[in-house]
Amino acid sequence: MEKKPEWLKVRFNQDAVNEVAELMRDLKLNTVCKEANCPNLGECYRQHTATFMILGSVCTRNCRFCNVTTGHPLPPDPDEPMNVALAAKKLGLRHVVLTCSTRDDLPDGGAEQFAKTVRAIREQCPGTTVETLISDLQGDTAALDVVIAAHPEVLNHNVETVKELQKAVRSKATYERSLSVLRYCKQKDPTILTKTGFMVGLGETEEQISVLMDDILATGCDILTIGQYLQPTAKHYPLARYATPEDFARYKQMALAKGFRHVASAPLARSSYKAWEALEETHDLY
Amino acid sequence: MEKQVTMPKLRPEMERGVLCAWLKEEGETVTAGEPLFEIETDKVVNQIEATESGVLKKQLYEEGDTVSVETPVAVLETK
Amino acid sequence: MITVYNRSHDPFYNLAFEEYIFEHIQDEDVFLLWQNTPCVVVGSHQNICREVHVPSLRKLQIPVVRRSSGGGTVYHDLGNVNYTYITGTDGMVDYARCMQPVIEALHAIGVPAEKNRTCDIAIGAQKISGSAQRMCRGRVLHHGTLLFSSDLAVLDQITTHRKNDCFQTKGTLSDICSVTNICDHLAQPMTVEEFQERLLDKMLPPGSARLELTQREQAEVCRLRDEKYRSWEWTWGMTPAFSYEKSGTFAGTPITVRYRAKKGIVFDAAIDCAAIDEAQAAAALNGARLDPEGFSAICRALAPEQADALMDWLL
Repeated sequence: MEKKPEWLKVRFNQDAVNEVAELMRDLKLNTVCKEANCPNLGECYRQHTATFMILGSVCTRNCRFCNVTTGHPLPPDPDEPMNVALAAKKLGLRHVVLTCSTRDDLPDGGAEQFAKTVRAIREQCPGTTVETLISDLQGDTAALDVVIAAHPEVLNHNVETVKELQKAVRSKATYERSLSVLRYCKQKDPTILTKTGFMVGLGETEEQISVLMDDILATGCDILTIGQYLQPTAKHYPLARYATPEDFARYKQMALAKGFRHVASAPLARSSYKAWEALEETHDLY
Repeated sequence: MEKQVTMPKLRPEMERGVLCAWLKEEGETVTAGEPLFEIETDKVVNQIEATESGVLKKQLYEEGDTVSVETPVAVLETK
Repeated sequence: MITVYNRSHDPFYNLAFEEYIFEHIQDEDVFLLWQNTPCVVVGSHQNICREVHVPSLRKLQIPVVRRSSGGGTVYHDLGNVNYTYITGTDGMVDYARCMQPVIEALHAIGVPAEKNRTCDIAIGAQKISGSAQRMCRGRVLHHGTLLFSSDLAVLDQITTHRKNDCFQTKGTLSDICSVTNICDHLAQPMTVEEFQERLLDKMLPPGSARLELTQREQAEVCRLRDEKYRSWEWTWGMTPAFSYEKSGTFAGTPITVRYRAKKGIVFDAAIDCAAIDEAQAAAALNGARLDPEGFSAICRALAPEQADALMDWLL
């Protein structure tokens, strides 16, 4: 495999990672940080942000960019919402991102478990903000309503890539459906910040990126994340290029000029990386 | 004619209030009903409106000053 | 009595929302419930720097929002529920009239609350709610906090242990008192959401209108949020005139910082310290906006290695 450029190397804080890893094991929890092999693991834990992967670590979809295991997941754990809340409390987390493997096997796609977990965090950690990073829930508005009613501060759903590469990269999910999830949430409760992200390095053109941004903005989306695609293994979708830090700076300017309220665009930006910073800046500090 | 505007008494127990902000500068024209200044007492901010039209001739206190009730705080030149 | 739902947790939006309702609903009594993500809310005419330790808040990244009513500084989180009661007034201050219906509603849902002092609600001797008002054009906006399940340790740390006595100021000072959470005094447990639903049901007579803002109205609230509540002119420019003086040791040498500020603009500034270029400091500070970001940049320019330590001397 090609050698990674210098800007993709990260500092790793083993102590912080160990502390979280132990607690997660004790409470039988998963973080997407570990399951998806995230490069920012150490930094986020140190900044008191973590992304919990609820509903188990096994996914029912098989997308070509993603490192999460595919298979037949277990039924939802009734203790999980409270366990997540207790872990957030114990770790003193300021911002919690909740995500899940895509659970097409559940009638509501896991929406109820999301809502229960948001409520448990509210109860245990009044100083903690919550972001739900959801699948498209198969476009089921009743399921989306369940998540919206729990009122996370941020509702995040990734479009992942430009329109032209959707079929090649994602399994089952579609461009239109992802945009309609963002649009529906903004219409249903405009006070929830909506957020989405896409990867670069899959072979997209600058023009396709520009159209993608326009389409996202038209849904009323507040926050955008743009990061480098890292090919997890040789079997995953092939990497087309490493975009440079200058490329990311240009994408950011482009998105801000179009009217996004907050844009995180950097080689290592992930949809939950520095998620809290995005929320706070959108709420505006001081 | 010169008219004095005083610090109002907003509770029977009120002895003084803080003149927190002037909403009109000296020399500015004021229409009856327009807010003239803000006072604060007992965690209430109260916008005091002019009861007559005229020109704000003199601000007798600075912002932040504590003033006893019924003491003149402004002079209004009415027509 | 009517209500208008507001599900936002954004403190800047929520204060704009409340002001919008106060300005636009003229002939009905209104009762609102709303919640903020962690933030510090200061009174209309308070000196933020006097009330809270701004450098610490900056480190915790807790925003400060200025409201339009009087009174002191409060910490909000998602365990706190805010209520707003808007009604007509003859111009006389009367907290009891606004608080009584809330106290009765609290009783009806099993909270043993009593009026305490002029504008507080308490359980026993411990405060669960503080309130403040704004009056204009014959209407009164009465709003208050209801501590349901707040993080009292953080609240205590932020609003009571961090008073900054280096400020000589005429603005409103905050009271300090002992507090408790409502959820610890309930016969039957309920979530913060249930608490709000039940309180609203008790406050609104049956059949009362429960409204939502239209998209156009929400856009106007957003505009007010951006133009007023998020602006430097409102949050910092409204700071009452003050003079500041602080002495101690910085970088192993004595330091004295002095400045004055009016309408949020610094003047008569001087830093007396061998470790700092005094002429550069005076030039940077005089005419500067009272603003944590701006002050932080000044500290980085004056003492690149110890900017954070210097910041503690400036605010």
